[in-house]
Order: sequence, then C-alpha cells, then structure tokens
Amino acid sequence: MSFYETLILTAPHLTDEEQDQIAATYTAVIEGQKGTVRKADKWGKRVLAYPINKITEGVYTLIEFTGDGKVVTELDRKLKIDENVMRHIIVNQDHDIKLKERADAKAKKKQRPVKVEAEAPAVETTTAPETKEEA
Amino acid sequence: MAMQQRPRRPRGGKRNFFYKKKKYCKFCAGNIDVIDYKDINLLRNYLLEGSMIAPRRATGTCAKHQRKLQTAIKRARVMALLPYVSE
Repeated sequence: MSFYETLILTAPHLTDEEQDQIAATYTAVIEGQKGTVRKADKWGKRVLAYPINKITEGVYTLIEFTGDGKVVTELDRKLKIDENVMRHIIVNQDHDIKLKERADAKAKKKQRPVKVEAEAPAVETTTAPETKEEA
Repeated sequence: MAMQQRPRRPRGGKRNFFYKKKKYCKFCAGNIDVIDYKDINLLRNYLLEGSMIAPRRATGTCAKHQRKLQTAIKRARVMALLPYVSE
C-alpha cells in the first residue's frame, strides 16, 4: 500500500454534469481495485499554459488515493482510453510524506524550549508588584 | 548594523562592481523539503524569460533542491500548468 495522487486534465466543452462524473468514475475505478480515495478535489476551469490540440482551456480534477500497483496500472489504462482526458499524471507520494513528517518533527523540537522561556518571566512580573503593595 | 559591514561604494556615483549580495538556497533556509508541482506561483520564480529553468548560479539554489525543482517544473509543464516556451 502506498499513497498516490492523480491530476486529470479534461476538455472544457463538457457539461457540468459530465465534469462532476469524471471524479465519480475514477473513484469507482480506484475502489474497484481495492484502493481507497482520500480526497477528490475539483480545481475547475483554467487557462492552459499552452494550447493542446488548439484547445486553450481545461478542467482539472485532483484525486488522492491509497492502494497498490494494480490500482495504478488500471487507472492509467482507463485514463489513456478516455477521449475527454487530455493529460493525466499519477505521482507516488510516499517519499514526500516521509520528508514532511520529518520536517514537522524538527519544527516541534525547535518550538518546545521557546515556550518554557516565555512562560517563566511572565509569572514573575505579575507577582512582583503585589508583594510591594503589601509591604 | 549590517550597513557598516558592507564595503563602501566609491565616491562619484560609480557602482562597486566587486561587491555582490550573497545568494543562498531559499528552500534550505525555509526548511522546505518537498517541492510540489502544483504550486505554480513558487515555480514561476525559478523560470527565466522564455520560461527556461533558471540555473543554480542565477538563483543560488543548492544541488539537492535544484534537482527537486527540476522534476517539479517538468511535471507542471506536462500538465500545461507551466509553459515549455514563451516569448
């Protein structure tokens, strides 16, 4: 089991219903191969950086999922067949997630000593004037 | 404070051609290990005019992060998020 992510670029001339179906059809493909979808995100219509087959706009959908190699091969095959899909990319995120976890752990270690220092002087300042008033 | 450490410019309004601001890897400084191909605004900063990938000597990026940048930009180009060429 690994973490993956696909970005699918589809043609802009589809109706809204058809665009909604894109995410649904490919989640079905993933779940058919015993994978799980973590997140399906629609970016909507965007202007492309360069025209593809004389088309200047495209609709992006991002799907994050987990599964094994079978899911990826099946998804890739289905995406290649689909005529409405202009471009697609499938990226393995295992290494990136590891690196992010490491960076978060480092950031936490750095934060801890700062908090202790900040709390200590604050207590002193509040108690000090009270004792003077009593005397 | 930092101003005092810099070498002074010669009088008469001439530029000091020997003084250069030191470049550093912004990913190392910001503790960024993962460079996402979907983050186009970040990647745009590392494209030259004509949208070529900027060399390390131009941006100061370290070798490790330049490699990651390179793959991120290339992935973005395939998905038409960034251009291959522009005028």
